[in-house]
Amino acid sequence: MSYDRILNTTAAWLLALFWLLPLAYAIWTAFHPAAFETRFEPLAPLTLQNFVQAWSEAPFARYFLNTMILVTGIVAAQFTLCTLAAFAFARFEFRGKGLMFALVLMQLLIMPDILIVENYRTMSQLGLIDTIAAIGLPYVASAFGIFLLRQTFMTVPKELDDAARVEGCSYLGILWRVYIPLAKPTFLAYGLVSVSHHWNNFVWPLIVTNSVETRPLTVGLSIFAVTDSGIQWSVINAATLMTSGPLLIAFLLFQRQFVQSFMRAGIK
Amino acid sequence: MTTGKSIMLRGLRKAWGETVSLKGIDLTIPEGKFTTILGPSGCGKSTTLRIIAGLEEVSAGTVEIGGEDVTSRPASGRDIAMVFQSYALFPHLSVAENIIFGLRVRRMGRAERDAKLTAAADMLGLSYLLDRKPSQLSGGQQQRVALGRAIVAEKSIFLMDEPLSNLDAKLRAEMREEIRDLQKRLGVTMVYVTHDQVEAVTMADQIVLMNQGEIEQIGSPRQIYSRPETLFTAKFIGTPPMGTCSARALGIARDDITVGIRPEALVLDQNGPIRARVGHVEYLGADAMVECRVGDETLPCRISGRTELTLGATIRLSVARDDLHAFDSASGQRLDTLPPEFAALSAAQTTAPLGSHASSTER
Repeated sequence: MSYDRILNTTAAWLLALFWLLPLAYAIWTAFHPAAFETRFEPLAPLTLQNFVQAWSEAPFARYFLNTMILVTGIVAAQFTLCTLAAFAFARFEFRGKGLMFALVLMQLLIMPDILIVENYRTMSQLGLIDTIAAIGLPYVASAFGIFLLRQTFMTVPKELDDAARVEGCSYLGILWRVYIPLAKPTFLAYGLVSVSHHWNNFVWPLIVTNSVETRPLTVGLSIFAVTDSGIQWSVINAATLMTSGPLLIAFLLFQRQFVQSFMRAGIK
Repeated sequence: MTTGKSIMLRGLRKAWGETVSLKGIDLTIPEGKFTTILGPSGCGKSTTLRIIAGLEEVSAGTVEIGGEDVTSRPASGRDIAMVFQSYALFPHLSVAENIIFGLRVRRMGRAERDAKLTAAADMLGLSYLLDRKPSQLSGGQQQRVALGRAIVAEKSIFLMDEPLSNLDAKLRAEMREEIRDLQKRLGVTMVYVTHDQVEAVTMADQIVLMNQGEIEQIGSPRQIYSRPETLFTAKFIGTPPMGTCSARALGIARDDITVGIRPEALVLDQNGPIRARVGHVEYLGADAMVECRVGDETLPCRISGRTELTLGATIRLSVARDDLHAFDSASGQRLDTLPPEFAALSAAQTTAPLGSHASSTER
């Protein structure tokens, strides 16, 4: 092994270890009694009590439901909207197409956090403050999604489009029967990114929600962590593992497809 | 199964901004016949086909199919099926699903669909491949699937856009026969676009030769070969194509005429009226191609492979009157009657030509 290779491998292991450390600590504290929060004895007794306690102390079931509704809603709306927009940009000629696409791309350059105040004002005008819809709405017209799908659709050979037209497909029929099936890897990649992003999103939901019925997991977790007098790491970490668990498991299960779909979708 | 419909194009024009790709096409394609549209790349043949298909809009003119004006009708309402150069098979669908794609779109019942699939697959020998994906097929098999999709549609007109250009030579010859056979069996009107004159000549009932957005000539393969109406046709059809030279090079005092003689029509003749020097000789086995230098120009001549000629030797050649083609040098149009000056060229032909090629003038 060359010197270069050794250096690379060591660095990779170090980074992985560094990244894993908080997770490892969370797992340690979550499965041990509070007394072992800072004492790392290999033979310390294992317990699930922290999970039971966390689950009973805050309405996590409701938070889970909220997050599920939020994430599926956003992804469904994004898929619909971005697919239609991308199809229009990829295959139709219309007035102002260039300008409109430039505007879409501009959205990619703007940090969403800058728009928090403006978004709040819009949601309040729509009377949507403290609803799940308000959390998702600002993200539905995703420039990233439109751009990604447009790029994918443009790689579909024109002759397939023609063949479907000769066979009697309408435009929506062509989209449904030809473009969408061929863009499956892109949809998968984009869907996974979107799910994980909105599952973990914190600042915007924190601002726009203020009741148990609407709060997603992230906000619920943070409130749970501060309101508890005297911070109990074991319970907080049990709750943290609970809330991030589904995503972690999903990623581990889909790891290969996830990485492959990104390679195929051509995103680095 | 189906009967063909005729197609009529009137005053068809197509322009993309500044570039004009079709400059007024008038064409009648008879029903139930095999018509090839032939021409060099960029001549507008594919555009013409796509306009017939309804995949491209016309800038001016009308398209009639079976006597009905379909100019503004979408592709699916024109009673056509189409085979594309790249086959346009859907990569995510199996062979079976590719073939019945259109039937699904039209919401045909499962039983009927399956019956049609089976019939088409049997006809094309695809039955054992139905579960494969297109990427697992060879080029020839993909071509058959594309044909299958056209067959099950049961349309009156088949449009094919250079369907054989992605196949190797041997397979191409096989598929030529198969497609010709298919057209006869189904009785459909076939419009077949190609840049390969061998395909056009071997398959077609009618050839439409196009050049630079215009039709040069319409006729049977025989007519086009034996009586080219323009210099372009003369030089495009035939391998090798017709040789041409100015009338003056043959000793005729006319500056406005270009003479065309097919290589096989030019024969060695001791008393022949045309004097030439032997240029490059290409030996091909059964015959040989000789570059005959007349004046500063060359005429290709096909002679028997057994005849030996030395470079630079002077030879005499003759040509039958019927094999002489005269064209107006400026317009490229054929002259209907040979000018009297040409009598000298054929009158001197007294003895029988060495090595007869009379039978090969019309292939």
